[in-house]
Amino acid sequence: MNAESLILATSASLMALGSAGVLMRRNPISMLMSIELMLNAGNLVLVLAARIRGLVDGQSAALIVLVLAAAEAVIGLGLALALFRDRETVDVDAAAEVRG
Amino acid sequence: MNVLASIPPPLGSVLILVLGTLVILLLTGRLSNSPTILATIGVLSLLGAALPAMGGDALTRVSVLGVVAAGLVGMLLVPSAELHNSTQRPEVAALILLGSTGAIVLATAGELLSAALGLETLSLSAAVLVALGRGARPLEAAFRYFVLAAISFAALVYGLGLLLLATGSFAWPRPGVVDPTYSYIWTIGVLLIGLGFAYKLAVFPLLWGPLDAYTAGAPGLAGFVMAASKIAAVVALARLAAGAAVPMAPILIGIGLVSIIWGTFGALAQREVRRMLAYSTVANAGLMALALGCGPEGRAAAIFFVVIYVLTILLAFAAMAGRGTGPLPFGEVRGEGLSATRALGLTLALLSLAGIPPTPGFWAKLAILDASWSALGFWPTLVAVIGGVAGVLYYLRPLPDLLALTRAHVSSAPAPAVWFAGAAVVVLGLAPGFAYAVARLAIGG
Amino acid sequence: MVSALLSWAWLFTLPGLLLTGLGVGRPGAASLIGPVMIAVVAVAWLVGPRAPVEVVRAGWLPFLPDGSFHLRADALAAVMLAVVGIVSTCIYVYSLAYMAEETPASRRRYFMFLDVFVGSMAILVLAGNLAVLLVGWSGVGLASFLLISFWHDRPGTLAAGVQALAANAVGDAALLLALVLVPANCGDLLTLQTPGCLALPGGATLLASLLLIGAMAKSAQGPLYFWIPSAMAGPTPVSALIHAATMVAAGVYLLVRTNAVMATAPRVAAATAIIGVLTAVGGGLASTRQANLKRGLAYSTVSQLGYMFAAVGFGAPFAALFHLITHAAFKALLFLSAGVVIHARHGREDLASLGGLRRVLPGAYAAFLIGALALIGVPGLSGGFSKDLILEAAEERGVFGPLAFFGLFAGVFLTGWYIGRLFFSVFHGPRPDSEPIHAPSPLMQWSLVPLAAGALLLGYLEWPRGILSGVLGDTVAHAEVVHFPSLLGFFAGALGMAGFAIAFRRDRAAVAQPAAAVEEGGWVGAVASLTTGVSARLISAHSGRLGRYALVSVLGIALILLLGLLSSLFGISAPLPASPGVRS
Repeated sequence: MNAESLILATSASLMALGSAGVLMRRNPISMLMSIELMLNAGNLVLVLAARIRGLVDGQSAALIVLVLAAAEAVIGLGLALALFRDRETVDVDAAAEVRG
Repeated sequence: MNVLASIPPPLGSVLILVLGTLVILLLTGRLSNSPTILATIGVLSLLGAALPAMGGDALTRVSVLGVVAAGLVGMLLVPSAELHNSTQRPEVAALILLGSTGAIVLATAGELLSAALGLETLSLSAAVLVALGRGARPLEAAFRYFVLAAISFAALVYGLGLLLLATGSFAWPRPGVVDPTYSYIWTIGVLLIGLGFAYKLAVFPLLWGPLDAYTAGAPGLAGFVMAASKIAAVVALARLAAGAAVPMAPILIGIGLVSIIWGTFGALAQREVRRMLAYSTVANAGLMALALGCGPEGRAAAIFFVVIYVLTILLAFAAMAGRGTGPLPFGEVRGEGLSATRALGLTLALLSLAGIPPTPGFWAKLAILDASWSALGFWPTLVAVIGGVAGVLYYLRPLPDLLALTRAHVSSAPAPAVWFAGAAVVVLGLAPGFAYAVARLAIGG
Repeated sequence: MVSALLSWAWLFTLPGLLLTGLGVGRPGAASLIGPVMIAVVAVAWLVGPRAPVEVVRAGWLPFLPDGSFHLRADALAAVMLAVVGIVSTCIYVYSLAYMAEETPASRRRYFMFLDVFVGSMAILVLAGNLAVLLVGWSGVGLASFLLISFWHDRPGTLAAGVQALAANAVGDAALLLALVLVPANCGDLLTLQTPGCLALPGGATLLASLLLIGAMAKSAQGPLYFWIPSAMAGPTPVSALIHAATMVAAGVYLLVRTNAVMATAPRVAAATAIIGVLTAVGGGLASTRQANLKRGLAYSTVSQLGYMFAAVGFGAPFAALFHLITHAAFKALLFLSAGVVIHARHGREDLASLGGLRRVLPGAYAAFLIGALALIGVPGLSGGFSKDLILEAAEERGVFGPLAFFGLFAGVFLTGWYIGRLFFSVFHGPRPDSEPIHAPSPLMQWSLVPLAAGALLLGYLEWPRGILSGVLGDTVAHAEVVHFPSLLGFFAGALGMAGFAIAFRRDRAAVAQPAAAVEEGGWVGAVASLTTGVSARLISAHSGRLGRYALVSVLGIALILLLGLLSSLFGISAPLPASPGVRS
């Protein structure tokens, strides 16, 4: 297995781990962290592609994604906090009003 | 002046919108007490953003005008939006402008990285817009919308990486440029990007977040979120399907058919207008996805459909704006005391959604059915037809109550958003040919 | 001039709609403009130039194979519009009195809905191609729903209206399919049968079947009859309108208009005839079991429309159209005189609570009797002429040998029986109570007179001279000639009167229990409960639990990736552009 395949496999595993984290955790903060993991899996592929293709596009894209991830984290944490204040529970499945 | 003239049209629109956002954010303190001036600044920014787009190609014009229409309705409803705290109005106006920016970038981006950037801008603005609605329901819905959007965005980023790996660039995919060694990586990449866009369209299996957001958000804001997302998503998916028909078209057709069935059954079970509209959106998104998989004629039909659908849904939400974020059960439509303008607006919207001629919803549905028949033959078209006509069974239920306006009206305030969206719907109903011609031009055929 | 006016006659309903909506004048009076003008223009065209006019505006709906705006004002349309206009005028005038106790706002709404109804019907009648036809078609469906659910705060009316919508949706689906699948330049209703237009998978059989399903839904034939009894939840004049001039007539009109398509699909024609005969007999039987006056009349309409469908199936569209015209007169008369009775008895419709009204309501008594005799087909009355024509067609060109003919012939006996049962239960026998009656206004009674005249005399349009068939010319194929007096007509009339007489003997004996406001039995109930079950299951998946949603989203994405990979692995591409419906 060459290095590229190894990196690709690593990124796929990271993606899978992140997805599993989102699916299994019911704490909003843990879910947000898992989503960060998924985004970083994407970043890894971007950097890999940049390296294979010899372009800087991928690296700059990875930086942009990092910024987006930060913005997402800010808003996600804000929403999670507001939800926690409102519900006083850290379970995202608790007391769903909008359903059916 | 040469510098200004050399700015590409969509970029000009984006710059004006960002400028408007900055102005509003800088003046937040002053504007929070004068909603009219706030809305005026917002409306002017949006109208200003429409101007440079007129110099662009048909795709730019359709996308920008559609998003601007959504933004205008949202902006006109800002003064009456149901918020936790009325000091948040300037933020809401800024978010509408930002969301419009994101939608325009997503639809008109020259390459996929910018499209992803636009998508995320739209997503984040949308989540906050929904969250700012009054009560606990909007917050709950916004959180779900946000998390599910983040998951599909992560998938999209991964897809971008794979695409870069396969082709060495972020350009929109084109047929025949794929390195054969990387063809599977390319396929997965394109599909992941397509699914990231599809979240904004609210099709199965990515319907959950949008469904809740449309149900629970403040009506005006939810209407804007829905409208801007759908326009941008359909245009982006049309561009993607044009260049990568091989993995995209069958998948779009498949998820379209499932969404039609899912949305129809879901809407039939509803006894409440907001959630019924949200579910029916899934059925309509299914129709659009189906059409997007049906070649150039289908893509034109999808763009035609989305323009009409978006204006209709904006009309419906504008008519319900100001009444709070709670559900509106069918039996209580009359007790709501909607003013005559609002009741007629909602009636027109429901008729158009149900596809009763001569409302534009009927023409839009016909265009998609025709494209589906030409490309796919009898059975998929039969599913689309059934999904289409079943709409009368849920859309029209509130009508007998709605038309029986016998009591004094609670809110008789002028409703500029209703007038604007209503006029657009009437015009599209009377002159469907023009809108279709523009849609044809937009897909370049 | 008159010809040009005729093709735009549907626009005459707009001023009334606007004026009534704006609240000008006595509620509803302004709405009369529509039906009166339609009737005047149609009659003027018929006695005047009779020059057919076509309006074609190409490019109206550019995405359709034939998306032109196409109106066709010819003899068939004019005859139909004359019927629609005259019958609607009577019903409008009647409604002015009948709805007088409603609030002004509610009356305005009522007349606006009527205007939409009549205007849509006029578009439907004047349509030159399928696209325009669908505009009127959907409008008629919408208006019928709004009028059936007019008393929206009474329990069951919304459900009744939704049932009508459901039946309409079936018909709309069939016509939508027909609209998109006919090839380019073939949307014209008169050229649908040309070989070039039938060059589609399924050919003539598919197209004729779709038209048949559409017509069955509007005309309540076969299994799609289910919405008719519930539709009685609407005000009685609305029932008259639905049953005489607008809604159910639309299906038969469509089949008459596109009769040439059916002629190229013999199996569909046979199916039409069988459905017609079964519905004629089944509707008659059902009518004899009704406990409610209006429902008895409703099933009578189902049965009579069965006769018309059978006639179309036999290849005798002229007979169907003739019966449609005479039926419009006598069924409107029956419903409106039933309305006088219901009005007089303060809204009571159950046969058990009516009775002995002969002396107190002599006008309604006479009107109902004339309508009943015309319905039975007594020789010399309008129904006698038209029904004989259908029976003769059945005899000559039967399906399954003489079975179809015998079915229809037996149906005449049922007709006599069920209408006699309604007639005698309402007007003869003892009064169930001594409550004072609500005297009918002169306006109500006078509006019955033209309809009574029609029920008596319309048959003479075809005898001794074929005036109607002469006017229609080649717009409707007609080989049928009225024979009068004839042996067949005599026997049929005698059979019907025998049924009538038996009903007199049995009088009020067999009054069944009142039915629920909305019948939910049979296949409709099964489909409805199945849909409800599936819907409930489906929305229970929307549990509000984020983890669940995320799981389904991720699994869905994975599944789609897998399918995408598999399809590219096996080279399955989009099913484009090799396709069945490719158009030049």
